Amino acid sequence: MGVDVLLFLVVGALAVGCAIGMLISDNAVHSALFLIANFGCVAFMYLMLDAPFIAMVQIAVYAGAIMVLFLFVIMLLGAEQSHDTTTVTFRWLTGAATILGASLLFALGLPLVIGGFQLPETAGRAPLLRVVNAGVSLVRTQEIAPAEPAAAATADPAATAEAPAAAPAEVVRFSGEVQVTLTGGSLSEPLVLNNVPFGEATDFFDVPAGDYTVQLLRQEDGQIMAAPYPLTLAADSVTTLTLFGEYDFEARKLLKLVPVANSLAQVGNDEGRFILFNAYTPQTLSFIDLGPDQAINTTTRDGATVLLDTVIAADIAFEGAPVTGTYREGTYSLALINSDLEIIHRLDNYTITADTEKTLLLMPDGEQPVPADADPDSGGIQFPAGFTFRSTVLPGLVFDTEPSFGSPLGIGRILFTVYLLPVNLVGLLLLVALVGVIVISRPSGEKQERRANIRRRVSRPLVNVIAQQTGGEVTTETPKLGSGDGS
Amino acid sequence: MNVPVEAFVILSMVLFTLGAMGVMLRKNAILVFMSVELMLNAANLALVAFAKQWNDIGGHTFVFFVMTVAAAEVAIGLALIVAIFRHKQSINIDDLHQMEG
Repeated sequence: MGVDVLLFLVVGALAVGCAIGMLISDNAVHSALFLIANFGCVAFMYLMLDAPFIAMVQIAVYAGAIMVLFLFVIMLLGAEQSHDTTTVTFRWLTGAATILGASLLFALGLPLVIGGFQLPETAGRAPLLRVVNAGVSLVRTQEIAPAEPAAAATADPAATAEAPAAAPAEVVRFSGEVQVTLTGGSLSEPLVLNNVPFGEATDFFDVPAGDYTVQLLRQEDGQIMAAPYPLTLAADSVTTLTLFGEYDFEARKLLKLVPVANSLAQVGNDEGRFILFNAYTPQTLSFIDLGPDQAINTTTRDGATVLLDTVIAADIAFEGAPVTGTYREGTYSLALINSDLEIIHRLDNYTITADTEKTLLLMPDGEQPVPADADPDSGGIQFPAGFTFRSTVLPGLVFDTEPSFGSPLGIGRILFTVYLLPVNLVGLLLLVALVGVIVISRPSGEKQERRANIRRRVSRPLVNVIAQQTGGEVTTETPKLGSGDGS
Repeated sequence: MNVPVEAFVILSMVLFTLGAMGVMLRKNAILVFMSVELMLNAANLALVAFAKQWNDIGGHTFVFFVMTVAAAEVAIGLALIVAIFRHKQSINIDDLHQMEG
């Protein structure tokens, strides 16, 4: 049994005990003190339920203000001892009330009993999914190797026979559109995404949570471009399904799919987050801030070259797990470098916005020829020296600076946005209550009248006293305006 | 947190029932009032527990409103009790069953 369970049991028992004590104690002051203790226990429960603000309000308003009011009235009226003479004559009422209470408890608990003391699970938000097409097709251009002219053919038949073999068809990377189909889960019919263009991400869309199978087809002819991929989407998740690699029909190379999960954790207030995924180069990369000089700075220490620039994320391996890095907001020159400290790709004047999460994909450039010495059967992707990569920073998640659950800021924000009208109504209610209390507790009419009379009687001799002291009559005449003009 | 939310709901149920029994059993008007406060608190506890379960801060907002209304109600109720006591010299609810002036 954990400490919190133990605490719950102790404080819960204390709360129930205090409630019973309040019920059976003869002295009203004792009852009030028991109730204060009960409110304290309930405030503790609020703390256990992640509601610190409500807990503090409970102590300040309930245990403080309201109970002081109770105690004040009890002592004002001298009602400490309850003269329950009637309980003797209505003893049967106690039994009836107990039965009623028990049946109320049963009625309240019935839903819990039926549900097996298990509240329904929270559904959570539907998973968000988007698809990024970072894969290319390898296309063999047949027209590069046409038949030699007839004259040459007659001159040297052997040469013409060898010509197509000697000059193989040039292979070109072609970035085409793909069709992505999701089946399974709780979908009644497959979800089909048509014309997913190269290098771009689709918008996020809601998918019910569940297990899916992803089919990838070439848009133009419906050829299967990747093995069926099992994808599990959980509630509250945000996933970027990345298709990458090279597709070659003849060499039986298929594209690969990797779900890049976005982190839903809050970023620091002045930081942005990057999720980096290397979908192209077999090198292991690092993501660095080049600094104001916009170049790589190194120093040699103990014979080893040490990078001086700030590393945002490291170990971004090909097909490896997506790497997360955070960096302070601002405008920077950022670069992806390889282990030889060569810049693979750079993002100049890139602005990092606070509370955002961007996905940075490194993918092959659109249409580039494959070098002649490329080995189509090798596992890795070949690229010539000085090959320019394309990196795409996909639009990511923008986090609202949402205050934490149950905090004063969170409650305050919802009170003054969604619940603004009820707040005003409650304020009006409090004002009406204030006026009501004044009206109810004002002295009765006759007393007020008497007090007015007394005041009048006192005021008359006061005039005489003044008259005596000044030695003359106190004139109450006011000067008549306009009398001089009339004569 | 290991304590299941159901436990808080059960506690709130028990407290609510105790408050209801207080309303039915006690003869002192002030104690009846205190029992009503106990019931309101039990309802608040259930609201906070469900807010936690569904991760919805709207429950907290409702607790806030309940507290405000309870404060207004206590102020009015106690003023009424004081006024009645001044008139009848008693706050035993069995003496107050007739509403004559």
